[in-house]
Amino acid sequence: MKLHRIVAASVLLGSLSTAALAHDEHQYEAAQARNIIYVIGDGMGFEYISAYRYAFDDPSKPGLSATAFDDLLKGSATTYPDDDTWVTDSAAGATALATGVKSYNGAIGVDANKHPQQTLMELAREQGWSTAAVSTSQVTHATPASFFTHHPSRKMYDAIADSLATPIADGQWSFDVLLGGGYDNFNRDDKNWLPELKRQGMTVVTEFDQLDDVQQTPVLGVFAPYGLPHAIDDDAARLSYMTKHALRLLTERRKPFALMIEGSQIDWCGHANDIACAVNEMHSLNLTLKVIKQYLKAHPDTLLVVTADHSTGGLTLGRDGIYQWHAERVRNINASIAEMSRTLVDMPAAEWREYLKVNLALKLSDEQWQQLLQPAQQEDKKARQQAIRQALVAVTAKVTGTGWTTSGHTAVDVPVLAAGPGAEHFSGYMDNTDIAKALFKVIGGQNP
Amino acid sequence: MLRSLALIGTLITTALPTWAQPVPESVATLLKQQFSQQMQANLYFDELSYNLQRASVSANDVRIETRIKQLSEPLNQAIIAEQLSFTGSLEALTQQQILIHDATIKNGQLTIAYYQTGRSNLHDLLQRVGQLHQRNGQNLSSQRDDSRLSWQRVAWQQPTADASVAWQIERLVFDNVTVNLFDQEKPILSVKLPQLIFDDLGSEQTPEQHIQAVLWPIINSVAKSVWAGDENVIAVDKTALMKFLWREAG
Repeated sequence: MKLHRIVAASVLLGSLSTAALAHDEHQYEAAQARNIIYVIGDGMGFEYISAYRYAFDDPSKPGLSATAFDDLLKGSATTYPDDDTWVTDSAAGATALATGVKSYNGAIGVDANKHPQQTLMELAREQGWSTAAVSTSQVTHATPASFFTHHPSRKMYDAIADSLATPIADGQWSFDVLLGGGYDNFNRDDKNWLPELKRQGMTVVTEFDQLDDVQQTPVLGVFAPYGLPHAIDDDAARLSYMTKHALRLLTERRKPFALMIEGSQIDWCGHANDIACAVNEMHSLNLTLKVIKQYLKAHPDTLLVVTADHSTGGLTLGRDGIYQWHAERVRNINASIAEMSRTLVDMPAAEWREYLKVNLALKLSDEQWQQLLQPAQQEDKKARQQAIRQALVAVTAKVTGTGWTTSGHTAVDVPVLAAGPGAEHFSGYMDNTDIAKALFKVIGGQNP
Repeated sequence: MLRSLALIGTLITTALPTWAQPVPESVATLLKQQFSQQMQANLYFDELSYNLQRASVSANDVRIETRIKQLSEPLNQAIIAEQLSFTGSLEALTQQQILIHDATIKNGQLTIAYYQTGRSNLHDLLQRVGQLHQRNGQNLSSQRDDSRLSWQRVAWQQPTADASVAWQIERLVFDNVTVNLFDQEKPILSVKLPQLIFDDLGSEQTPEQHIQAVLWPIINSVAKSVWAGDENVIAVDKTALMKFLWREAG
């Protein structure tokens, strides 16, 4: 290449303002909602709300216990991606929910031509709002990434971390609060962003109890190497805890804000066909909605929208022609299938039964015990762990009356819930892109 | 690949109808297989057809994907388009040469993904085309009597034992294209252009010359868009792009 061409390119690029991203906006009207809280239950089809309702019902009280989801329900949304499959992945789903544009599976904030699309968070920053996200996955995972970055593939976790860590202006990042997992994407062999971010003025925390002391934004909290542990194996309140702090820090900034909260692991439990894991993740989200509802009471100028990017697993409550789903059995399970299989694979086979009596806590027939203990005969560790997992899925599903049709996603409609100013615009049938388009209008000062 | 092209050429030269004809599925499949083997890349398309009267070939839903391990799947997708059509010397297909007068790629994307200095998905594709050509040791330019090829004047070489090809594209037009430039997986430029035109691409050029022939029209088109006030169709990491340009110039 010739030098004069590069000089010409420099002049050309100098004439560009910021990376310009288009969004179809028209005339603005008076704003109603000052803040937006956008909750995404990853993989949360209607059936997950049903399962949670039954599994966490309080049998000591008459009737079915209310959940935090119930009074928010407004409608449903289709989730299909920009191809002929009808079944979306989390990246295309999140891109639709973040940009209002459908794309291909794997896309992070880009359209089908890989062209970056303006996200809700980017418009919010343009309008002077604070922006934030909280997730139980790594913050570089498809859903949070699609709200802040633009990448052709969801698998580019390190590149997504680089995008999140790169300032968009002096002392300013694309977010003010970002909490979740993903420590290892920011601190890796080729690059450790964390000390650099601290030097540049960002608050960086890596332990949950440090959040209490955080007073200054922007803040990045990465509390696990990748995703946080499943709620059933850890603390179901961690998402609500992070949400509480995110709301505190955003409120202290005294600006309008857009906060995306993802219950990331409903989907992961669905992929694992693990019903107890799934309802505990739903419980985690339910606790989070309670925190948000409290916030809405004190801040009625806040719009809450809750939806899902897709459903996962083809979950059904009841199977094999038997009219019964054993909610109490699901509730009694004390560990995820992933955790149990990780533990059992290194445990002497003689101890398996005692371990499973405590953690699986299901009344099993001799045949079912045989099915669970059979994998101990596998010599190869990887094959043994896989066999344990399969046996646990089969037995748990059978004994609880739970059906699964796939280890992947499904194309069924997902719930749309809302409260606060403008919530009525999220009722009835919507496409997932309509949700984002309505929120763009809110941020732009229009009625949705 | 050339055997398939030759088969298409034979079909064309022996077929009498002058309206658009679908290319038989077996030939389309053979073409894809040959492309896969010789180019180490995947070619997908639907509804391949030819029109003898117009001397044109067209295909819908076209996709060309390289198989470079250093690149993720989306970055191996060099070209995706709703429609590809070209006019050229179709008789030449039987003689293992490709002369394309006008090729048009409509509604799609061109993704150029660098994985190290001087290496990209496009380099890979062009190098493989070049290797096909080198095995033959002949090129089209040696038989041209001037810089403007014409339908009638080109004296086509005879097929040789190995399946090599000399090729020339006089004009390649992308209509409504998104051009994406990545450097080591990092997005540095994405621009939507109403039209992007490349002139005189041929097998006598090196891959590096091709790349320069491709990159500068893109930069010029970006400049035109900026000057026309169309910044909304551009997403660029200016610092990364400048670093990239300096590095590739070195």
